[in-house]
Amino acid sequence: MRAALRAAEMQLKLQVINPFAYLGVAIYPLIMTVLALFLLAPSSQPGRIAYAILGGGLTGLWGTTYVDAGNGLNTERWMGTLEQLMGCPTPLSVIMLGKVATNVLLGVGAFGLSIGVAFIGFHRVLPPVDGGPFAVSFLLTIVAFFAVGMALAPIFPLARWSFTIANGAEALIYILCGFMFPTTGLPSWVQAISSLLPPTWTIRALYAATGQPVGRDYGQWWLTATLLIVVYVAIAFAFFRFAEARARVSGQLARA
Amino acid sequence: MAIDAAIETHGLKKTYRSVRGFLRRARVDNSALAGIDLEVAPGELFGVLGPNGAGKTTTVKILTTLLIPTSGSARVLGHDVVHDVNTLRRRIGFVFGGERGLYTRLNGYDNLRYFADLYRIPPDVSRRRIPELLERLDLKGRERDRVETYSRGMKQRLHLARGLLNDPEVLFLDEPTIGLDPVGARELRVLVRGLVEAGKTVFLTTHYMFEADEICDRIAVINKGVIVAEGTPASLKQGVADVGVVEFEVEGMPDARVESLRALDGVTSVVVTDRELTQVVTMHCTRPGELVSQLSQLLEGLRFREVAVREATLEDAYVRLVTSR
Repeated sequence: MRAALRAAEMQLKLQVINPFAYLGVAIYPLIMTVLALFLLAPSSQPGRIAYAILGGGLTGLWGTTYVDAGNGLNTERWMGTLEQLMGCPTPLSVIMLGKVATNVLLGVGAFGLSIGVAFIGFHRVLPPVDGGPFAVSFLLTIVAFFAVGMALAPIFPLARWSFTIANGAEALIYILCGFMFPTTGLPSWVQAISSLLPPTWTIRALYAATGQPVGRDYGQWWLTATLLIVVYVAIAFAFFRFAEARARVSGQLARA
Repeated sequence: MAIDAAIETHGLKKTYRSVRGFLRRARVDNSALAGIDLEVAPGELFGVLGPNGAGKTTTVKILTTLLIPTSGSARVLGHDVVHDVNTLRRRIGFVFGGERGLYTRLNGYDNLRYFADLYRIPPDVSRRRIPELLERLDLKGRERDRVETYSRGMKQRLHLARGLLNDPEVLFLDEPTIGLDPVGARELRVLVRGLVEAGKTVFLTTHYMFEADEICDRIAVINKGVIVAEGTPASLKQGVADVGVVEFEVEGMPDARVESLRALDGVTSVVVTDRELTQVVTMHCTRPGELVSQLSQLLEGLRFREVAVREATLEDAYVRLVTSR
């Protein structure tokens, strides 16, 4: 536990002094929110405003969680510290637990920033929300992002090409999980893939709490998301063990 | 439980597999270790000497659990390096040479405190040990400065402090003095010798002969993934006691002429080193005086000078071991 907390603190310190982190936490989410507001807000439909405001915030939350989780490991590789981390008695999964948790918290900051920009810059606020379900859905969304980030992070120590595909995968999640539009508009086979991602269910609940016409099956969505989160976390820990074993065979840890 | 050997390996082999080509992909196997047998006693400073690519770093990485051997076995402090990973990692430390491996934009103290927690050192112990290490490694007063402002020597001492955080029984040092200035390198060697005197086992790799000669109790010379000699520095030098060394500077020495020197009776090795416009030829031979008298004839048509004859050193023993006729 102490190791994970220290890893979280180190990640925060590294992010604070990293200019690129500000791009992910502040600049990109703001651009997304502003563009979404220009595109969607002129409509008189309050639902579109919700998609613009929350969608911009969610891109920031996800981008910070996922890209920085993976990029953090790649940075460790470039600095030569990944090998030092792997040589410690603390498993890499525990270290990443702390690092990803920090990134999620920074992502929540990015989310708040998007909401603030919508209000201050565009005088736009979320339509009246169903407080309780919104809060639960938002908390579950954070945990869902954390779980997916943890499950994908082990790819980075495994392969040097991983970051090349990371950017594409990041945008794919925007679409698959319905960050800015309902997933019900996607082809059925894509919806099948979407349903395997825990954020899909929590984001659906989140938008439902803002009054979107997507039903009100909170209990079912939360339960599905929770089960998927448990599966993803289990996969993450197993995948980390596999990644560590593979890295010990291939010797790729030290190579930048 | 008392153990006979701090480190022991049997038939240790490591092959790296890579893929070549795009459309016609082919697997390529590169053998880094071709069967290493080693035994290091507790409290010993054991050096592994070898040229670049000889397998030194691979050996250290296997012994520190960072790599899994393709075959063979290795035990450190009685623990299998493949299976007893968690127990072993708590009892060993490792330091790799060079400037990488530190959080250079954070301060030295943060670097140490982070790894102290990752090594699961109780907070009360790390609060006491970190200042002790900073003091011992002459980093006190700079621990709150960013590591990027440290000199190379300070960074290397910080690496060493990190490697000592868990008070390891065995410390692995992979080319720890690489890139250090002579003063910094000497300071580090003194520190390392001090660790051995304090009872630690140190496994050191280097390609600096004088370093191995100066501080190691025993040395293994490794080349192309196999150990070609092992013993004390004195015993390795003894191996070339019957050999003298002839050195001279020459201009435009053709390869064919080098080969003809190698073929001479009594010549055990010929090494040619480029030096700007000339080449320095180092010949190990059993009858150096006789060879010098024949040089004018052997090098006919070539301009040579600075002919010198001297006794063999550890470096000559090393060169003889890692070069073939």
